[in-house]
Amino acid sequence: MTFAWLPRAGRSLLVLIVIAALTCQLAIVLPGDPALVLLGQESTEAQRAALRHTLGLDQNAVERFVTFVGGVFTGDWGTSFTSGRPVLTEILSRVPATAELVILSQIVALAVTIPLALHSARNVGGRLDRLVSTGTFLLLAVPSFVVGILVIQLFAVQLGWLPASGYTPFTENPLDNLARMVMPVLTLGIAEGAVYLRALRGAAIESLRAPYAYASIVRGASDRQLLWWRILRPSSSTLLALVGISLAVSLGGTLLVESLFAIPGLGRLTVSALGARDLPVIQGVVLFAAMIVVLFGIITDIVISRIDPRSNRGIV
Amino acid sequence: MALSELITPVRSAAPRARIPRVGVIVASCWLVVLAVAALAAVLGLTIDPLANDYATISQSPSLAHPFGTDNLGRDVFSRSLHGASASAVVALVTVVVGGGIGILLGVWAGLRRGIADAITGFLTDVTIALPSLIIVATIVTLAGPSLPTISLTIAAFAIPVFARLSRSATLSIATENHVIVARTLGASGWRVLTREVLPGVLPVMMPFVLTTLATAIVAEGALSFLGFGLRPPEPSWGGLIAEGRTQLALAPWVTGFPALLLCLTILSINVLGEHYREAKR
Amino acid sequence: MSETPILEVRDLTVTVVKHRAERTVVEGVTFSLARGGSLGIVGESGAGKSMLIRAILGVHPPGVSMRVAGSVRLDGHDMLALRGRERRRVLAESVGMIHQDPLRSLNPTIRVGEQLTEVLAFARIATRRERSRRAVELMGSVGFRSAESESRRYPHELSGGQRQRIGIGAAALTEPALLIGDEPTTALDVTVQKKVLDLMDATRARTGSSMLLVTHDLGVAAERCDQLLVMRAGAVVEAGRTAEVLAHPAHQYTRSLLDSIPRLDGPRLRRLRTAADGALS
Repeated sequence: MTFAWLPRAGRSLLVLIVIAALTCQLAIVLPGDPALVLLGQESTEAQRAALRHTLGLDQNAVERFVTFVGGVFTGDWGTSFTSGRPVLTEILSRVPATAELVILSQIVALAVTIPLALHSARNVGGRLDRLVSTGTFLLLAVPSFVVGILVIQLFAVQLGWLPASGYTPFTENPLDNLARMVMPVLTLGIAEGAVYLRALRGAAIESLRAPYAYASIVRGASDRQLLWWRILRPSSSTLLALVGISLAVSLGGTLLVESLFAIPGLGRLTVSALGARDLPVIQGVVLFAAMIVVLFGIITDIVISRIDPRSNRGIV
Repeated sequence: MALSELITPVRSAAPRARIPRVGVIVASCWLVVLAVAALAAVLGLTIDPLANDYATISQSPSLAHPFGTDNLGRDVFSRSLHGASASAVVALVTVVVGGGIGILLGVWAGLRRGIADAITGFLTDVTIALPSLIIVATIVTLAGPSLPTISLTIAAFAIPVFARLSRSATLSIATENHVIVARTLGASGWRVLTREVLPGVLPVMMPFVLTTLATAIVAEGALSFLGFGLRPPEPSWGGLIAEGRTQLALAPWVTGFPALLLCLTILSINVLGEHYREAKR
Repeated sequence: MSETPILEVRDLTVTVVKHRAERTVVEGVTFSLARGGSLGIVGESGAGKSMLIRAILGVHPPGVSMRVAGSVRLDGHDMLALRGRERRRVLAESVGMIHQDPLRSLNPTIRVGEQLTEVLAFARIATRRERSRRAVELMGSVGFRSAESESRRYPHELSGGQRQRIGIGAAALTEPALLIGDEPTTALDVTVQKKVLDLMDATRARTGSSMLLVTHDLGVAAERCDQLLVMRAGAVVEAGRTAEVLAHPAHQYTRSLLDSIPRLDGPRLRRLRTAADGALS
C-alpha cells in the first residue's frame, strides 16, 4: 500500500483551509453595508447590529476565520435566515437527493459510453462510429439546461410518459422516485456522457494502434481480449481522472437540473439561498461543495495509484 | 498526480471524420453574421428589445417579427440579438482578461520555477476545487449582477487553467535551443519572453482560447437561466430561454430561437476549434 | 522429421494504402525457411522488412490498410486465407515474436509475470495459478535469479535487457515452431545484445524452433543465421546461405553493406564506402 497520495492529501487540506478562509469573508462582496443590503431599508439599527454580529462582521478577518472554522468543526455552521434551521441540517437533508441524481447519472453515462467507445475502437470509421462521433460533437454544443428542456418536452409533454417534475424520496415510494428521476438523470447523463465518450473513444483508438497491441495480437488476442487487456486497464486511470473531475463539475450541473425538475437537492438549496441572500446557507454550501470536490480528488488519487502503478513514480 | 494536474483539456487525438471545409466556412459565416447582427442591435437598428406592445402578444414569426413576439409583445429577434451581444462581451472579456492574466502567470511560473511555480500551482488547485458555477452565482448575486461583474467573475475562473496550460507549454519551450541560447547570451527576461517564448506558447493556446469562448458563453447562459445573470428585462440568452419556458405550449419560439442561437454559436466555435486542432497536426 | 519448410513465401507483394495514396512496400519476395533453420532478413530502415513480417502474420499496421498478394505457407497453413479465430490460433501456437522495443510491447499496468503468460490467457489454456507457476519457471529459465519476486514487478521497474529477456521468454512459451525477432537488439547496449542473442540461440536449441531474424545489422545476422536475405526498397537483392553471401555477394548493395562494417584487421585509413558512392544501381 503506497502512501504516495499523502502529500497530495496534505495539499488538498491546505486548499480547503484557504477556501474556508475565503468563504467566511463572503459578506464583504456585498456592496456597501452588508447588513443593510441583507435586511433592507426597513430594518432597525439594532437588527442590523445583531446581523453584523452573527456574520462576524464586528470582528476582524482573522477572528472571523477562527470563529468560522471553529464552528465548522463543532457542527455549528450557522443558522439559515430563511428557515431558521441550522445550516448543516439543511445541507445534509438535501444530500440524498443530489447524491442519487449524481450517482445515477454517472452510471448511465458510463454504461452508455464504455461500450460505444469500445465499439468505435474496433470499427473506426464504420457507420456506428461515424454516427457516434458526429452525434457526440453535436451534443457537446447543447448546454445541459437546453437538453433538459428538450427532454421534458419530449417525454413529459409530447409522449406523456413521465411526470414533468417533482420528487419522492426513495424510501417512500421507490417506483415513483425512479420514474421521476429518469429525466433528470438522462439530462445530466447525456451531458457527461458526451464528454466521456469523446475522451474514451480517443483513448481506445489510440490504444489499439499502440505498439503493444501488435505483441498481443501475435500472442493470439481476440479483439475483445485486446480491448480489455490493452485499453480498458491502462486507460482506466484516465477515465477515473475524468470521472473525478466530472463529479465536481456535476455539482454545478445539479444547480440547473434540480431547478428544472424541482428536485430538493443541494443545487436547489443553493439556488433558493442565493435568491434569498441567505448568507449562512450560501457559505455552508460553498464550503460543503468544496469539501466534496477535494474528497473526491483524494479518493481518485488513491484509486489511481492502486490501479496504475506508473502514477506512483510520477511517470503519468 | 495532484488535483491541479487533472485539469488538462481533453485532447481527442483519435482520427475523427475531418471537419469538411464546408463546415468551417459555414461556422465562420455564422459567427460573423451573428456578430454583425448583434452589433446592429446594440446600435439600435432593431426594434427596442424592452418595448412592450400589448397589441402583438405571442405572435408567431412573421416578416415584422422574424422570431415572433413573447407574451408581453416584445420582439424576440431583437431580444435574442441583444442577448448575443451580452454573451459576446462576457466571452471576450473572459478570454482577453482571463486568458491574458492566465498566460502571463503561467509563462512566468514556467520560466522562473521555484516559488512562482508553487504559488501558481497552489492557486490553480484552490480555484479548481471551488465549484465554479456556485461561486460565480454567489459573487454575482451578492455584488449585483451587472455585465462587468459577470464577465470578470467568469474570467477569474478561466485564469488558472490558462496558467496551467501556458506553464506546460513554457516548460517544453524553455528547453528548446533558441531559448537557452537567448538566456545564455544575457537577453533580458522581457526579451526572452516576447521573442522566444511567447511566439511558441501562444499558438498552442489557440484551441483552448476557442474552447474558453464557448465555455464562457455557456456559463453566462446557465447563470442567466437560473436567474443570477442580467436581471430581466435585460435580455440574455439564458434569461430568454427561462422566460420562454412558461410559454412553451403557446409560443415555443420564445425559447426556441434563443436556444437555437446558443447551440449554433457553440457548435460553430467548436467546429473552428476542431479545425484548428486538425490543421496543426 | 518433416522435410517441408516451416515457412514458404512466394512472390509476396504488399501494397499499403494510406489516405487514398498507395505505395508498394514489398515487391515479389520469395524465400523459404527450413525447419530448425534460421534466416536473417537484413536491410536498412524502410527496406520493407517489418512490413514483410506483418504481411506474413496478417497484422496490419495501425491506421493503414494493407493489400497482400502472393502466397504464404506457415507450418502447413495458408496464412493469407485464414480468418480471425483460425489465424489467432495459428499465431498463438506456432509463432513467437520478440519485438524491438521491449518497453512498448509490454503493458505498463500489468505485472510482468502475468504478461509472460498472456498467450496462455488468450487461448484460455491454463488457470491463473498454473499460469503463475509457468511464468516463474520461465523467468528462471531466462536467467532471473529470484524469479518468484521478480515476476511480480512492473515493466518500468526492470532494465531494458531484463525486459527483452522476458520478451524472449514470452515468445518461447508455447514452444512455437517459428520464432521471429523484429530488431530485437536494436534498442539495447552492445554488451546486452550478445546476452540476448545468446539467450535466443539457447531457447531455439531447447524448443527446436526455426528463426527469422530481422535486423539492419548485417554483422549480427551473419553471425547468428545460417541463411541471409538482403532487402532493399521492398525487393530481395540477395539470398542464400550466409557463408556464400558473405564470400561472394552477388549484388553491389550487399557488397557495400559488407564494406561498411568496420573491421579491426582492415586498412586503417580507408574511407567507408556507402551507398552514396555510386553503389546504388
